[in-house]
Amino acid sequence: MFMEKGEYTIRSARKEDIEQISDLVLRLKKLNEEFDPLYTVRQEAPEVVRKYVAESLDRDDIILLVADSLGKIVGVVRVEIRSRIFYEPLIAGVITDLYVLPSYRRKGVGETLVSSVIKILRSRGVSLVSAEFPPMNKIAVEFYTNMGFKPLMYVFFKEI
Amino acid sequence: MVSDTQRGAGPSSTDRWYMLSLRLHREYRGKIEIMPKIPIKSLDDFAIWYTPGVAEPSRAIAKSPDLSFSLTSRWNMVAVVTDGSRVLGLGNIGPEPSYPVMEGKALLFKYLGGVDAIPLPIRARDPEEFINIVKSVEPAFGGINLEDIESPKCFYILERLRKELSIPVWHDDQQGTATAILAGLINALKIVNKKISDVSITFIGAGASNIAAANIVIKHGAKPGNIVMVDSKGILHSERDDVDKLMFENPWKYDLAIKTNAEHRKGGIRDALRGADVVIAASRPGPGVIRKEWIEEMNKDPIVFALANPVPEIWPWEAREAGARVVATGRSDFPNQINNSLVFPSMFRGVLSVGAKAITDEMIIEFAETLARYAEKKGLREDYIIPTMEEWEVFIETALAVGIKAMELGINRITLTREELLNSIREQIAVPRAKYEALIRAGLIK
Repeated sequence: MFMEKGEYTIRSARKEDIEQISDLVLRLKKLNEEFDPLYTVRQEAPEVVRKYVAESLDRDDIILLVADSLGKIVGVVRVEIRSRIFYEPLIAGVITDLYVLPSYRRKGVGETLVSSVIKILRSRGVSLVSAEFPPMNKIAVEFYTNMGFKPLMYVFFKEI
Repeated sequence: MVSDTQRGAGPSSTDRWYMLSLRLHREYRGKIEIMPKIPIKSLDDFAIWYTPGVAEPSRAIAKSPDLSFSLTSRWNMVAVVTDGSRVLGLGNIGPEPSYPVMEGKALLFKYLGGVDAIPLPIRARDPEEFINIVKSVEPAFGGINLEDIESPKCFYILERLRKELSIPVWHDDQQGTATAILAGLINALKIVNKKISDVSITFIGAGASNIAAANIVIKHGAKPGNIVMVDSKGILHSERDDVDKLMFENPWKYDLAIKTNAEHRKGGIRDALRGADVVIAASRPGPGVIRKEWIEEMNKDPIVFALANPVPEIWPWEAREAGARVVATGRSDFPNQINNSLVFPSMFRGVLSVGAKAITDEMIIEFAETLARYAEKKGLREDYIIPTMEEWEVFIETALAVGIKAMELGINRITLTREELLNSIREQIAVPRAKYEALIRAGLIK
C-alpha cells in the first residue's frame, strides 16, 4: 500500500505519528475558527484532538493516512465509514479531516491523500465518498469540485 | 515640489506647510484644469471639432475601436482612481477627502510626464463594485493609475484589472515603489560587489510596497528561500499560526509565507536581520524601529533601505555608523531617495506613447534597469545609487526604454521607430511645460 510521489510517501498512520498528526488536525480546527464564531476552538482542544487521533487508529471504520516526507508528517486525511440507511449505496466514506502543511502545498499532496483513501475505500467495497467542511472554505470547495465532488446536503445551524 | 519635513525641523514646520497648503488650495480652488490644444479661429471651427464634422471620426472608431487611441485624447488620458481607503498616513478617509491627493498626483503626471491625468475618487468600498466601475470607464482612458487603496484589497483589484482590461493598470503604491526599490538595489549591489542571486534580503513590513517589491526582486533573480519577511507579528514562515488564515485573507502574503524563508527562521526584526546582506524596510515611522546593534549583526557591507515616511526606521547616519555601506530612504533631504515620482510619470509616458495594452513585470524590470543604468553612467557612489528628480533626462530615457519594451512584447497599438518614439516622448514632456511657462510669463497663471 506504499506509494511514492515526488518527495513524500503516503502510508497508513502509526502510533508514533500521533503527536505530529494531532498538530496538523489542530491546525485544521483552528483554520475553521476563521469562518464563524461557532467554530471557536475550545481550550481543551489539544488533548481532545490527541484522543481523537489515537482512537481513530484503533477503529476499523476509520482510515487515517499520512503524507510522510523523510519522517516528517506533512499531510493527513481521516475518513469515517458511515452507513446511510435510507439510500443506495448503503455506506459512504466521509472525509472529516484533510490538512497539508503550508510549505508542502501546491505539490499535489492533498489530491494524492484523497485519491489514496478512495482506493482503500473501493477495496473495502465502499462506492461513495464525501467530505465535510465549512461552506465558507472556498479553497476546499474548489479543491473538491476539481476532484469531481458535488454538494449533496446542507447542514444548517442556528443558536437557540 | 514640497519636500518632507526637514532634518531637525519640528512639527511646527510641517504645520506651516499644512496651513499654507490649505490657504492656497482655497485660493486656487484646485490645481488642474482642462485646456483645448487645437486652434479655434472662429466659431465655424466647431463644425470640425464638434457637429457635424465630429460624426466622421465617430464612424471611424465605430468600425475600428482602437482608432480611439489615434483620433481622440484617450491615448494620453489616465484615470487616477481611488476609493480613499488608505490615503497617505490618514487612513480610510473616503473618496471626497482623497481628491486633493489624486489631483496632486494628476499635477505630477502632467508636469513630469506630460500625461493628462483625471482625479477619480469613487464611492465603491466593495472590491467587485470598484472593479466594475473601473472596467466601465475603460473606454475613456489610455491607462489606469490606482492610488491609495488599502491592502490586501489593492492586490486583488490590481490582479483582476490587469487581467481584465486592455489598457495599462498600475498601482503606484505597490509597483511604483517596488520599481524604485529594484533600481536602487541593483546599484547598491554593484557597489558592494554582490550578486542578487546570492544575497539574503530581509523585508520589514509586508504591506503593498514590500509585497510587490519582494515579488519583483524574486522575478529579477533573488532566491525566494533567501528572503525573510517580517510583519507586525514577527518573521513570516510557513508554519506560523496565522498562515492558514492568510490563505483566505491575504493570499499574496500567504504566497510569500510559503515561498520565502527556506531556513524557517523565527522571531522578530533583530532575528530577521542577523547575517542578512540587504534590508528593505517599509514599515512604520522611526527612528528606533531598526536599531544600530541589529545593523552591526548583518553580513559584511550591509545595504539598508529605510523607507518609512516622514522618519525612516533608522536615521541614515546611525545606519552608517553601524557599518551600513549603502543607505537609502524615502526622503528628498537625504541621499538615495527611493521615490516613486521617478517612476510613474515616465512609466506612463512610455506606455501611452505606444498605446500599450499593459504594463508587464518585464516592463517594470526593464524600467528599473534603465533607471539604475542611468545612475551608473553618471558614476555610482555610496550616496548616489539612484537618480534624483532634478535629472530630467532620466524621465525621457526610462519612458523610451519602456515604450520600446512594450513594442518588443507586441502589446503596443502604435508602432514607432526608436527615433520617432524618442521625439514623441520629448515633445510630450516639453510642450506642456513650454505652454505652462508661457501662461506664467503672460501672467495668466500666477
